[in-house]
Amino acid sequence: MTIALTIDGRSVSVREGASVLDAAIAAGLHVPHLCKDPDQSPIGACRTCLVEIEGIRGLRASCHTPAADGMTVLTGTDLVQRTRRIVLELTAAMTDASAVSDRPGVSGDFAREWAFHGEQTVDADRKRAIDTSSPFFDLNHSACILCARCVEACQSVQHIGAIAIAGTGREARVAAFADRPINASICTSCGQCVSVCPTGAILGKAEEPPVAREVASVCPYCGVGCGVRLQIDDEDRIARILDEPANPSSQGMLCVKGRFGTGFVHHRDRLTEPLVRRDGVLRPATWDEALDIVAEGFVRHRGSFAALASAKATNEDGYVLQKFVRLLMGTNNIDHCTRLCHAPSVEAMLTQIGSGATSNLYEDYENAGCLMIVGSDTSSNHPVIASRLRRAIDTRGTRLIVVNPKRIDLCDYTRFWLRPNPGTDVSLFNSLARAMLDEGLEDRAFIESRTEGFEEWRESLAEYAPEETETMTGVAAGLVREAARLYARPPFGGSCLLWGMGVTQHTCGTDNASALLNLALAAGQIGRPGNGISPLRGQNNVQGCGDAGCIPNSLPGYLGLGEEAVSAFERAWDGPLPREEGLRATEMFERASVGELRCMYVTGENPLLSEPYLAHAQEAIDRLEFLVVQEIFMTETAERAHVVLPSTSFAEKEGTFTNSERRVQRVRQAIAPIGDSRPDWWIVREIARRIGRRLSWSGGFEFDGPAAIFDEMASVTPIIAGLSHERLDRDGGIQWPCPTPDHPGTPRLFTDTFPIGNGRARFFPVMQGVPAAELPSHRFPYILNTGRVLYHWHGGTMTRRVDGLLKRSPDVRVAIHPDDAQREALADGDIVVVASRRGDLQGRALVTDAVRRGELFVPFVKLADSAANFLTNAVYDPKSKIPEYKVCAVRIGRPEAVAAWRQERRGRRRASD
Amino acid sequence: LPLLLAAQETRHYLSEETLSAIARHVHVPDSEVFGVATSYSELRLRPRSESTEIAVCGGLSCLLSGARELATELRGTGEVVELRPCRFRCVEAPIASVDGRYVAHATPQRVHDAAREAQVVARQPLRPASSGEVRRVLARCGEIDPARLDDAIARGAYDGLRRVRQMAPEEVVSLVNEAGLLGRGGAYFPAAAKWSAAREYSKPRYFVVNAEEGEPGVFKDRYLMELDPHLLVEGMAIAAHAIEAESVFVYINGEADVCCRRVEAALGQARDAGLLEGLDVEVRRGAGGYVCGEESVILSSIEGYRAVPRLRPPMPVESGLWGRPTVINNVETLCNLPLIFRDGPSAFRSAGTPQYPGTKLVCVSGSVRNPGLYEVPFGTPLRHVVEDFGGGPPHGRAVRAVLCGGPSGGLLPPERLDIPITPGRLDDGGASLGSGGVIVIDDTMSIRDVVRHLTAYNALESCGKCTPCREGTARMVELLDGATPARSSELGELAEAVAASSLCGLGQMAPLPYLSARRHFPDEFAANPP
Repeated sequence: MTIALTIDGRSVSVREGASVLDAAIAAGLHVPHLCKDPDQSPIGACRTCLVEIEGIRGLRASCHTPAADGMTVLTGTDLVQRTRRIVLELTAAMTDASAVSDRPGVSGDFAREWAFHGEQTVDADRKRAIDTSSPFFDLNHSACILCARCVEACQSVQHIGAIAIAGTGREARVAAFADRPINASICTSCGQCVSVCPTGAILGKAEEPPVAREVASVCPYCGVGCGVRLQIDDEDRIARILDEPANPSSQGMLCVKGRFGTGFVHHRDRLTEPLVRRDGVLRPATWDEALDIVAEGFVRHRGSFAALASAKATNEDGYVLQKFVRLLMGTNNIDHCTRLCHAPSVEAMLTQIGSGATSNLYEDYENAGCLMIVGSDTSSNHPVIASRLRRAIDTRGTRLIVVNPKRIDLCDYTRFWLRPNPGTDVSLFNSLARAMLDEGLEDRAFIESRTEGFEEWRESLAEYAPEETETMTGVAAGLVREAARLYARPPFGGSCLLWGMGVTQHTCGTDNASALLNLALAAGQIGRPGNGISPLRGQNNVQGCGDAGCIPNSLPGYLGLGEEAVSAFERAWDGPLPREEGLRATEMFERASVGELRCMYVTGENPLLSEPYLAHAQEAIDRLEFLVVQEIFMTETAERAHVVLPSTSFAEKEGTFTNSERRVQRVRQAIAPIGDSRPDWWIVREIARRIGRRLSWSGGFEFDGPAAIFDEMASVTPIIAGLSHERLDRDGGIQWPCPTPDHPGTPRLFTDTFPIGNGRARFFPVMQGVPAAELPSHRFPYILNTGRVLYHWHGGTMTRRVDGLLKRSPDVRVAIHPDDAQREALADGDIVVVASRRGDLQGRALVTDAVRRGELFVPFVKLADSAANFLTNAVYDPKSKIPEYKVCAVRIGRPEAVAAWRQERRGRRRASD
Repeated sequence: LPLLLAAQETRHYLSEETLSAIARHVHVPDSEVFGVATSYSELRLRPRSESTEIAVCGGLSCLLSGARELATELRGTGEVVELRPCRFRCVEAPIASVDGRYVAHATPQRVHDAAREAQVVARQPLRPASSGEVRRVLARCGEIDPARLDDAIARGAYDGLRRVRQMAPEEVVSLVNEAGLLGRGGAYFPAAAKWSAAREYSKPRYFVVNAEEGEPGVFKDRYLMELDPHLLVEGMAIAAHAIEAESVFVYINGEADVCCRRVEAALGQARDAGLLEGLDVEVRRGAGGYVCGEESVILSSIEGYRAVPRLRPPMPVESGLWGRPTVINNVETLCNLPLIFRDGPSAFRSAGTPQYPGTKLVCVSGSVRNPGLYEVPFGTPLRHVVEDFGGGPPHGRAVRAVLCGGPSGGLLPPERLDIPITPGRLDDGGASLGSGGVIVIDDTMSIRDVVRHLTAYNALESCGKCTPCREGTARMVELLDGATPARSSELGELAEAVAASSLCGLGQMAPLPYLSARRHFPDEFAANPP
């Protein structure tokens, strides 16, 4: 229904629920307002948007006065103007004119009104110190007008609550807990406050040069796929990153990495020219020289070749690469980092439900009555999803179940924290299922109409009563039963199951994922609004990389390697294709280490940080006869390459990323390529053309750019057949499957059927095995868990090159329980050495009860030459070949101990040789 | 908030560790808990000093009764004395407190005695009815033992409720409408209309008893709760029945410990006697802050947030506690309900005027011989209350002005005291009845000082949310002090702007003392003092 009213004589119609301010804006009138954010609900603090309304005495603040039919509003009467002038004078008097920043686009009203009225100066006693503790922004109280937009952003947008208004009257102030510096608070540096501050009281530390243009794109970090707007200055540099309120995945939110973490793009370490190893040294070369050498080398090693695609690159990059590998190199030896993260999830999901993708959309998390988050430190790894989860919990009363051996931030939001002993997940998940069945809470109708194998699975749970698994898992039976009840029968809506690496990075990773799937199937929590299953994807385009076919066991679109699919692609690509499954990433290194694989093409991946047991991986890489690395920085892997090809970052190319909710989104070129770097698709195309000539093969690589590549990909990939760059530019991101140009996309999978055999999901009984390949011993008494931290991305290749992030998190912190720290005589902040049978690293002790006694946690980012994967164990889940990153046995001590340990290790290795 | 109060009760102050622990316990970010803790004046974030703490109330009535002189004398004896904002015991002015224990009609001797003996001084008993008073809601006060249900029942308690229980909720509303009961909290909105409005919205609905009464010069609800708590309990049950609420919150001022104990005891007795069936009643305590008397602030406070007003619309009757329809009634309003149902609406209308039926409790303090609580029919001349009941100023002093409606009200010159006591504005200068506080000001204090005092109080009590109230009232004080050079018109313009643009009633009415004084005592503000 619309409402018609008159403002200053102009007639205007607005939707029901609009405010008088909305109506005035719709009528093209300017009503000054300071505290009202266009995307948020009104606060009503600044009292500048005053209007007179006929029939109502006095003035009204238009931001929180609903427009009503037939209303007559006046925005410029004497009373309005006089009162507003005084209010603005009072406002201006709060600030120190020199502290207020004229921020174009953000503070339009304030700047204008202040300039007009602000001849007053602030009382001396109101000038408070500037809080400069954050590496990303300053909080200058003498520019603050207490509009509370920052508090609203922190509390009601990001749901963090690092800042609040404290005090009353003139003592009121924006404050962190106990007026401590903001860096000492729970602030996650997301900068949402910076983006809404109208006066520059909260202002980014980085200089903000004048903006020449703005380009809409997608954040290059995690799989959430947040919309970003890149503001570019006159010198073709990224001046600032803004959030994108219109993006349905991120809804105007960003995390610290997205908002403040793109400095790496312009870092002096960027590779700017091709490098070729001559006389043992990497030396600059022209593109022609380098590409010729690469083509020649690849041809020479045809038959002993493997490629790693990059989940940081675009769908288009991935598609071209896998086409090249399959069609010209004649092998399916292509894989990417999914092997190291969600391969077990995909394996289990393909077996049981026929698809490895997230079933739902983020919005479902906010419509769920229960969220179960397993093995995921969501706040660190998918911060914006974590914000949406917190929003559901805070505003809708959604209940949360956390399953994690480590205390994560989200544990503060629930009493349902299940803390299993490492490696006992199958027991725990089976006991949850058993508890649900014991009370008859399973979804009978769903089981009967949509699944098969239920009875057999039910029988497999005989020994998993929570009371019996309690000793092994360490989770109290009562808590398991309560959690099972909650998951099966949430207070409203459905239950969403989200999981991360804590489930998958085990030798029993696939079994863990299966046990979870069984639970979701039995509860019928899949395929409806407000429920579903979500393996949270790590990299920005790990979903798309798989979609594009960069996996050894399937052509693009998960069509597999069956005869039908292969011959269809042979027709489409006009050439013979290999039918044999290729090597998985982890297998590539195993083969290389024994000399069975001689040549690798590594694009945008750094296995010498991300593989387990790095010393061993290094040996494997060193045995390669020809290694080509395509990168934006000189990584540990690139240093050992024979040819290094400089590629472009996300900001320098066109294409698409597909996020964790299957939303295909446009990535747009914002700046020219740095130096002589080139987009991945271009490099692969050029190599392919050269090899084609050498093999007397022509055709297949004529694309003139990413749009054409996407069109070809869409023509052979049914799940994205309806998409094109043009459509994505017009309609924004769309969730696949989208089979035709008029198809709206598919927010939710599995609503009626599963894409498998007879359309029924399969229960798959799994049994608890040995918790981990390596368990604590007398010499290595601690269990090491690895993961990530908010301020760094994976190995840190990008984030180590962003000053603020490095400042906030400069060294590897080794989390240790206070009791253990006491036993080892370590204090918080001490330099410590952690060693496993395979290597050691140095870090700083972080004494915290977030980890349990006997367990240590180290993020796998490499800082100051310390990386967790020197320690981790190169043992694999037999089904998915994922390494067991989450469990290995280590010891901890002071740096003095390390020499003796190394000696001992060498001795033992020699003995075992 | 209840957790913060409980923690303060046992630990005497809220340390950072305590606040953190509470934040963790309730799964709320620590900054928000800090924000709440710094929003209520009675919450202490620092430990008390080791030595005996002596404070003298610096409220207007106490100042008029010699508080300043008392403080000077005490300081003369070597004590460290703090002058604190009004503690709402104006009837016993001047007030002092020793380690939080009150000393009524304080003298240096009594304060020293209190410091030694740690005695608690009970509230001054209600004066016997003066002639011309019509004691209805006060009828049982002082006549019965407030701790005994049977005593109250013998004097007619719960007769009204018994009748109400036989009636449909709609009938209850229409009968109250017929009686013409207006809210006694200060806004004088028809009670039945508020109830009907809430009934438009779906259940569950909440009912809130506003027993915050934190206004200088007002002490009526405290007498009612202390001396006849069953009257309130009965009224509350009637109102809850009328709006079909199952949950009731009684929000009692943080300092009114005796009230709280007696109301809780009365609730227990009534529940045990089966009088509150189907009703879930919870008592919540405030923790200071004049603004807490504002309806929507009470809602924020009950939900555990900072004491700040909410935006309207939506009105509480549509979206109050936790987004549900909520009716908030003042204690005195509720105490009228049992009488309406026991004696019928026409009996109720027999006092007062046709437009404003019933009686009103008026709290008289300041420079009068007989400070106290008086119940008078609407329409009674103000002069009658001030001069005949209150007895006028002590010997040798003359009335300079009368403050009606507390710090949100206005000043009346002595020649205008013949106006009848009626709801709303008493005159066009800004004086209003408010919730019934009348403070008599004598010639020992200048009008300018009074205005400054009241404005400073309002500035101090500003919750800090909106700019005009937070900044504007503080600036008014500076201008009144002459601390800041100003154009002669500035104070007036500023006062008008604050009144016109503030978010809630507190801010909108904060300039009224000045505006009324400017009207009636223009000479006082002709120029800035040197």
